[in-house]
Amino acid sequence: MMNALEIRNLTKKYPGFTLDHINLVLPYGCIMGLIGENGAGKTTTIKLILDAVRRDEGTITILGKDNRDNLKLLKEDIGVVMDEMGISECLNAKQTGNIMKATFKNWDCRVYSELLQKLSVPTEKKFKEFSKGMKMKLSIAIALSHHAKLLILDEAASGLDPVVRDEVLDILSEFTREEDHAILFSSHIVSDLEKLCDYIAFLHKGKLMLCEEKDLLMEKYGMIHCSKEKFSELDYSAILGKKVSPYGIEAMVLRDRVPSDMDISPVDIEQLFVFMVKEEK
Amino acid sequence: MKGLLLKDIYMASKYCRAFLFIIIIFIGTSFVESDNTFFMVYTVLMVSLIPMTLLSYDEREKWDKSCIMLPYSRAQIVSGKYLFGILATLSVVILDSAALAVSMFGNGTFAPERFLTTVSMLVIIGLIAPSFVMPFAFKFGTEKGRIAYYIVIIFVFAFGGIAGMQMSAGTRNHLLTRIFSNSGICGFAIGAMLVFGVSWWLSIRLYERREI
Repeated sequence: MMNALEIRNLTKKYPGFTLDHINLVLPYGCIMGLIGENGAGKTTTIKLILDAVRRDEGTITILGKDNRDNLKLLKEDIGVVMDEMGISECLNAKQTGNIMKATFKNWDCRVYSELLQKLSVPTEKKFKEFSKGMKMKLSIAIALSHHAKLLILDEAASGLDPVVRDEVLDILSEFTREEDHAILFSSHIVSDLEKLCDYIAFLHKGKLMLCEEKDLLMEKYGMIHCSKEKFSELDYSAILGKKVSPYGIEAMVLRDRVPSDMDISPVDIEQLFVFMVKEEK
Repeated sequence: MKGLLLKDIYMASKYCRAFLFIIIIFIGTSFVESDNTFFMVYTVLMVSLIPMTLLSYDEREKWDKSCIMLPYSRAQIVSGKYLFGILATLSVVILDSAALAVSMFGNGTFAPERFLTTVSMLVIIGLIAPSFVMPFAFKFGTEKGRIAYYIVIIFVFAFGGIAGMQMSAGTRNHLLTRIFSNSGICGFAIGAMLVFGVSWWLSIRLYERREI
């Protein structure tokens, strides 16, 4: 079966920053979490997928088609939620729904009304009077109301209270129950990605550090706490990053390259990300 | 493109209400002073540049970034603004023409040549002003495009001022007569339409290359 999204050798150069030969594949029925620090290139990657900026190299295939071949038609099947969703401040949710109905061929007014109700978005209130969370909820309702196959979310859950965030994550999880659906989810809230995602992709300074199944990551990597002497005996290639303190060394390691007698703790996505990006080797 | 036009109608009805009020007052004034074309010219100029105003709001509210995510081509995004401009300008030209005709018939001064010349002048101004401003806005954004906006305003009123002074001085062969003679007006009207068409095409080409 085709993949929902395939990115091969994607490169974009700016003065002082390069998105450098990104390769990632998002299968149908899956959710991929895209993690990276501020300025890592997450939003640039999303803009390249949607052809808002021109790529310098590489290919992007969305739902089996090159994203430059009739992207207008492809966008009918893509729902997008950006962190700053630009809806005119003078519009309300009802008017926005009318505009979207005239925009998308598959717009579903019933689904839109149900989502607005479920997410407690008022229909007559002007967009400029919305809180940040409410703006995000409206954007999510729009993205889910035209029977999209691929959802692209850029910091979509930030600004939401925990109750609503939980609801949104449930809605997203439900979305991928369809075999021909997929989600690319860029977020700083690593706990959401851990809860929701099947695949995790780490971006750091324009480079893709890794892109793997989340469960495999947990099996592959671990955390050790040991003395400097014990640490110096380890295979250098086993170490992803270390943190030195007066009490010893904390290090992120590849489990299969570390002696079996060493005590290895499980690691979460956030620790993995921080160690890969921040800590010295 | 229906969605884009609908959005612009919603926005114009909210943000350009003051324009509507001014247009009504000015049309009323030109109805009374049918010899003075300033009020008619101003209403057409103002309305023809509403798409530029809406573009500014789009940028401020980040609609231009969101719109790229929707199933619209860049050509449609540009064309939406030009079409809205045509519809708005045409509406005001029709209203101005009706007011002028009624006023001229009322005064017993109706002359088909003069009526057609004035209406053609309004059409020309309604097309030329956005033709110059819009490509700048689509290429550089509305902040920089505003420079072109002010140049157009200054030019139109400078031209009007020179022509007006010549008419007051009773100069026989004044600027307006030479430009807006029967043959001149037809040529200018066709020229204005061509310029508008080129501007539309150019705006699409420029916007397709722009990174949002």
